[in-house]
Amino acid sequence: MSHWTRRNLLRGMMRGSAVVVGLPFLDLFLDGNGEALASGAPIPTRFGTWFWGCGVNTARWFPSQLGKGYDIKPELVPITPYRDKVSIFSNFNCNLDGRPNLVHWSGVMATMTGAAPLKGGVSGGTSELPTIDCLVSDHIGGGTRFRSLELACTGQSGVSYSMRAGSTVNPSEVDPVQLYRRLFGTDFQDPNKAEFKPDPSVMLRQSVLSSVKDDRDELLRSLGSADKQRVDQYFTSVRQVEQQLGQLLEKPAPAEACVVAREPGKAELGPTWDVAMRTHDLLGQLAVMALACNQTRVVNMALSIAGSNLRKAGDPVAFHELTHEEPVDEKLGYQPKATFFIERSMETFASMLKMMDGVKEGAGTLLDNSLILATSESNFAKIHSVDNLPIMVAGSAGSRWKSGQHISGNGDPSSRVGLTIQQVLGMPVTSWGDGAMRSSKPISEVMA
Amino acid sequence: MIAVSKFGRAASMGGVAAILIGLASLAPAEKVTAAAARPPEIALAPPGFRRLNEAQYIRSVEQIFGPAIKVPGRFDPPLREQGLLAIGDATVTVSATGIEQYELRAREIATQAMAGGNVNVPCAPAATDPFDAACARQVLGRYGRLLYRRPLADAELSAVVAIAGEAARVNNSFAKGLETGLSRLLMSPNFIFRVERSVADQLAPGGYRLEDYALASRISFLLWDSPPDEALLDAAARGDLRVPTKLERQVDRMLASSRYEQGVRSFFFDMLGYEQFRGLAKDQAIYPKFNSELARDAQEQTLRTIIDLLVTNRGDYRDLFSTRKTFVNRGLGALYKVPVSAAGVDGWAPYTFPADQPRGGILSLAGFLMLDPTHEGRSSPTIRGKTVRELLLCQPVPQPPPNVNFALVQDVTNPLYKTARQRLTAHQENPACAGCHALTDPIGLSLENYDAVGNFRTHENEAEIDATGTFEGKPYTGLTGLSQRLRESPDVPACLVQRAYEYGVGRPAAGGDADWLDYAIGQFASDRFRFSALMRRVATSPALASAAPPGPVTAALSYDYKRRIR
Amino acid sequence: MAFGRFDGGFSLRVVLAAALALATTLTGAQAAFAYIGPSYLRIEGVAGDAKPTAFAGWVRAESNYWTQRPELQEIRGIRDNKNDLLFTGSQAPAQGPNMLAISVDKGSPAAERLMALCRSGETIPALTYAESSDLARHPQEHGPAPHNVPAFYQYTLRQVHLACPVVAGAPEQAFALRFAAIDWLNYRPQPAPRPITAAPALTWPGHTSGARRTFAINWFAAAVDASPSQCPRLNTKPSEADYYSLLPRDEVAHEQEQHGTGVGIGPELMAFRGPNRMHVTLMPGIVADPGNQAPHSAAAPGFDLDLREGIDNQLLTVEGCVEGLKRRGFLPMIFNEGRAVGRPTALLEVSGIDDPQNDDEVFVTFLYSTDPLRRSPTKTVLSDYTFRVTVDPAFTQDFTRFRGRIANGVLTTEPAKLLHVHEVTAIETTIWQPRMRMQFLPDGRLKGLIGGYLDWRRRFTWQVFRASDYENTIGMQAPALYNALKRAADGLGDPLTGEFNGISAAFDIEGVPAFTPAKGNTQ
Repeated sequence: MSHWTRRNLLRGMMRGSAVVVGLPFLDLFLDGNGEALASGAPIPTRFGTWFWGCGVNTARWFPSQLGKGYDIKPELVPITPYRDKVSIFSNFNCNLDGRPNLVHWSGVMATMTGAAPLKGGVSGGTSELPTIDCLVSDHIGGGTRFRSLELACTGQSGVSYSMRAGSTVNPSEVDPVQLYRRLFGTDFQDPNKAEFKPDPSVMLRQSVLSSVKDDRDELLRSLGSADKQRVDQYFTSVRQVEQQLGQLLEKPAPAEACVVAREPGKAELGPTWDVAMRTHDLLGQLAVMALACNQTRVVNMALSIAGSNLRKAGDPVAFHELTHEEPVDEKLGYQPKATFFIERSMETFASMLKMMDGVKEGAGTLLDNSLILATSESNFAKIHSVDNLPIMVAGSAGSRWKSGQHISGNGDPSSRVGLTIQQVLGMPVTSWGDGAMRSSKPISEVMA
Repeated sequence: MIAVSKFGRAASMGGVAAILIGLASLAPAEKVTAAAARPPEIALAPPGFRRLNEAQYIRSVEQIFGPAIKVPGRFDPPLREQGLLAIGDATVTVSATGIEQYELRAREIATQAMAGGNVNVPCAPAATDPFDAACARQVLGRYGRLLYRRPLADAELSAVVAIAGEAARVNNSFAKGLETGLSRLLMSPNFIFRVERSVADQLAPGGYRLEDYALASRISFLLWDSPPDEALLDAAARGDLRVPTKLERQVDRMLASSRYEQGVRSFFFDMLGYEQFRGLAKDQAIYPKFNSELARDAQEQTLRTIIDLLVTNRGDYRDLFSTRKTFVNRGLGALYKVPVSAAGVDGWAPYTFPADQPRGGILSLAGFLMLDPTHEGRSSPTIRGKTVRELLLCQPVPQPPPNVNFALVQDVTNPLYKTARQRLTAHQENPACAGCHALTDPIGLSLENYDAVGNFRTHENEAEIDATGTFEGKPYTGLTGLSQRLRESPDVPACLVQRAYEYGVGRPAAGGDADWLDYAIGQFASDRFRFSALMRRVATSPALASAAPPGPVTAALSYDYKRRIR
Repeated sequence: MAFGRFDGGFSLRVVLAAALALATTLTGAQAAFAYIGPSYLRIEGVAGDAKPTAFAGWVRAESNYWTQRPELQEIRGIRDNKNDLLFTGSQAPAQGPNMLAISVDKGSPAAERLMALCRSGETIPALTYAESSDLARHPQEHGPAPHNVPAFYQYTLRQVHLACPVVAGAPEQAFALRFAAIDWLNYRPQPAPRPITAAPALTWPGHTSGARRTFAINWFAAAVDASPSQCPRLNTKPSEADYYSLLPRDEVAHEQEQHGTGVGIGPELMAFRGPNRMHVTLMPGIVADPGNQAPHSAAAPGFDLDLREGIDNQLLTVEGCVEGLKRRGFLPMIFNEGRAVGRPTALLEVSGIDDPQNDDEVFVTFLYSTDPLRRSPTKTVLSDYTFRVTVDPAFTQDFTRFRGRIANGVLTTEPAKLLHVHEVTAIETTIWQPRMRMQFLPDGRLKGLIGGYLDWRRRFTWQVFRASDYENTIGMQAPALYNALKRAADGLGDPLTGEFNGISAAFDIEGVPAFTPAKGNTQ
């Protein structure tokens, strides 16, 4: 199994066509607290989803300790370097409540749309509501060239967990060469060259706020001294928001980390492990550059379809078939061959984190300014269980998300994670989802 | 050594003695009515400035723009002060992130209101100009009055119309103008806060009273927990609220309204500390049936029980401590280990606990038994005792002194101390703790037959649980015994009266309120403890309508309220 | 392919592996196009030895399927909620030319005569074929057939050409009947499944005096989990070599080039490893018996059904060493996972209890509810929830009541006629002459055994439900299992033929305390 190590894969990738990672960000552009540029323009927040198929082994994946500095179980070892930037969610369920357990479909749709679907299966199905990436890109994706990017690593453009409600997916880009041309081809505009027009509707919002300040004097006249201070606090807050709006009227932060890569060489696509990994890392590097160059704010990566067809070259049986066929080794307590793919999947996720964390932005990195929701459709794929779904969120949305914790949902619907993400990204949602998956309870532990 | 307790106001170890005196029993009703022969004195407090809580904000918007409106965004958390969130609302303001949310919320609501045709525009803008100021003034004036809960002054309205005009021209759309005007109104502290004013009282030269619209709001939030409707605002405009008979007519109208039930729910939600259900967690390895759904159901069960007894059946408040009539759903049925009816599997169904079940009264329901955010893995007699003292008896319990060693209490594995009683007895050998634990533990320990989520149990760690206790010097056994004692205790109805009053005026009862409160407590007894009679009395009372001129707090409010011993 | 989720760019095998992998289906409603069990042929000049009076002198086939390459069987209830109360008519082709595959027991005299006819190469102008309308139903359909459906569908096949590849050591002879035309004699092609109805088997609540205890079933599976020590070797799934063994050399070369060697054979191909690429999970007798790994087992859980010496649980001797049938194996785990989501939840009600230790008459009623079991986040099934007893005729038709007694805390029942246990996404289990032995555990849960006889052919169909890929998933070879079941059959004897149609079995059953609504289902 030695030739499967990540190092070899990376080397393989470099031999293909490496993508140049951005130059270090020049700190002199930063103001004191390092979160906004001296211009006052804030660094944009990005969102992504990262999907892998066929779940985990509960006992080998979920930490036992809650909170920060959680313990790392064997299947999570690859994310060790990023533990402080990755939140783990356990005991968040897909509550079916009478709806069918559509194998390899219900679990992922529940987490992504906040609703258990009514039709579907291993090859896909319908979704009752739009997936979270669509909602987020509607909110933060406007003004960039691509509302979002969908990417899949096994050469199948149908593999995508981004859907508007219904049965058609937003198809994935599967070929690094095609993706490169779409992103950095002739239509590419350097974000730092484009000129900027302030938005009149923002100006209007500003003048509404300043008009609110007219209410102050009259209030102060009628109130006692203790209440006067509270009134003043209120208007101080109003002023602060007024200033924040002011920032939106200024030219946005230069995308200092934006460096256009060279076009990757042609490469074979497909579901064999080494090929898919190479594809993942190439697509990943390009996606990271697309984010750094403000071409998009939202990226969806699917390592494979939920009933994963990933397999080792020369091995007849794919990951999904293994989860069902392979005996649970009595001594080990898990399925060794299927578990190989679980462990490699986590290494691949770590590789995505590495790429994002390698791009410096402001005081932190691209990863710090993002939220990446990583999940799978099952807990234990052998029996298609959808309780205790494996869910991770990487990044901290520019310190609006308290990263690096392990949090238990006590059996709550997994839609709580998506609800929390939307609220942290400033979306005006008090509740999200449908039926037994509907939740109005954000996960306060992670909200800064 | 003075500390402010979570629910209670400042109290010292010295204060404990005073609290114990406060436990003396209520005089029989007739004595009180005798005492009530003369009109009670009323303390004058400066007008309040209270932030709408989340529910009040949402209900306001729905009441004004229709139920279809979705109110987005997050609200700053509520604050519990001296026993009530309603008192906390009068001490909080709005953070910058809070304003961000209010701003976004204001725009979303205004957009929905205009788009959904929920805004009544009785005039058409002049064709020539995208903006018709007169028409805008008419529309924004009407909704301004509903949102501010009072008519807008000319200058106020002009400022709003001006911004609407700006918006109309930028977007070349009258509707956009109105939309922006509405969001401007929704952003005003005059909407987000309940701004009270006091005015000179013509009837009492030199005297002050609460301005009519402010009184209308007090009444409406007391009875409905939502803003005045147009009828009440009109009554205020006519000065009706200063005419006792007309005031009573308004109050009776509101008590008869379907909104009254919501008002009662809101009051008990506050009095019973139910905001603690938000994010309540228990260790599911120990309590596998617990989840946030069950917590929500537990809260709902008690509120339904209260509404059924106090509103639907106009029952005696004290019966809340003994009634076996309640409502269950599937999750609660499993918790109590009883079958629910077919209807209860899908939703809620009425249920009466049979005599052989150890359940009766709201103390025996999960809504009380599991409501302890501070212990996830075990029940805490101290917290339960504290809850009974502070929430149901209005008897503040001091905070523990700093650096106490809780090792004995917390180690549930110690073979020497198998039950909570054994652990706490050992703990109380520390004299620094004994004083307060004497207030809480005897009550809490008698509830130990119910674990931290409300499961009934006879043993803890194989040791039989001793559930005996004494209350006001009278011995009893178990939860049923305690409930019976509470049902008899004069402090229970007295506390309800105090809370209802504090809830209405938005400040803690003070020494100067003693006269009126004692009077109201007596009247509550002669009203046979009917809750609606109490609400009616508070709503129509001169106490609720009184106010001092803005300025320093009067002496009458500077010392604590203690019920007088007669 | 539904949803257009695949755009190729890689080997067909992989597409199929993913798209047709276990527990999925992309096809629409579809019934059985094949079954294991008797069907009959009447051919001029070929005297058969079929016993049923209706088919006296006809040739009996042991298994059959229509068309040259049958699709995977549809699993109902996996892409949406399933409905058992359907009747799908014959799936025979509406017209020719097409093909019918049958297998005939080599031991029967008819086999030889058919071989002769086949070898003569002459075309048969017409023959009559009769297949059971009951066995030809989709295996997940359950409930009485409509009255106008004949017991046997009959067809005339015209211009029939026979092929009869010989496989040494195979217990049955495969025949491929290529026909130019087909006439349906007593049934019309039915475009879509027909809804049917069923009457409740009993009224609930019934017996009410005395105490009543209800349990929600959280485990039901055949008691066939032999210990590793009893299974020196487990059964294995078919290998690449098995697939190629009967193929002509040149085709082997061509296919190996197509799939690549060592890449293995996908489940959807693997089933076509019979002679002339005939389907071995639909006609498992047509290849040599690979042999079944049986457990070395002295003691077996179960009942003495026939009141002769010993416990009758022949199923254990057949399935004891099959990985996917062990307690932690695929089928028991996934079926019990499905059982937990309430489609339906099985309930067991013990009523008329006067003394929980010794009571000479109690009643045990097997019921269903569509209210799901509740589980803790750690997936332990929770006690004390209330379950409404369903009124859905799909389930009420199978309510079953047993008379029983309690002696020293052990509850045993008399046999009932049969017990039908529903599954969410699988072929369901019917137990003939079922009886129970159960105990109430101190923690309030229930644990016990149900014994009785299974139709061994249906049990086999259950194993190869998808008509192919369960061989991989549960780790066995259809031909081995088929022959082992046939050998071990020990009950439900057929008075006409004297052969056994049943195999003795025992099932583990476990439940948690539960309630049914206080006042029954009514308000």
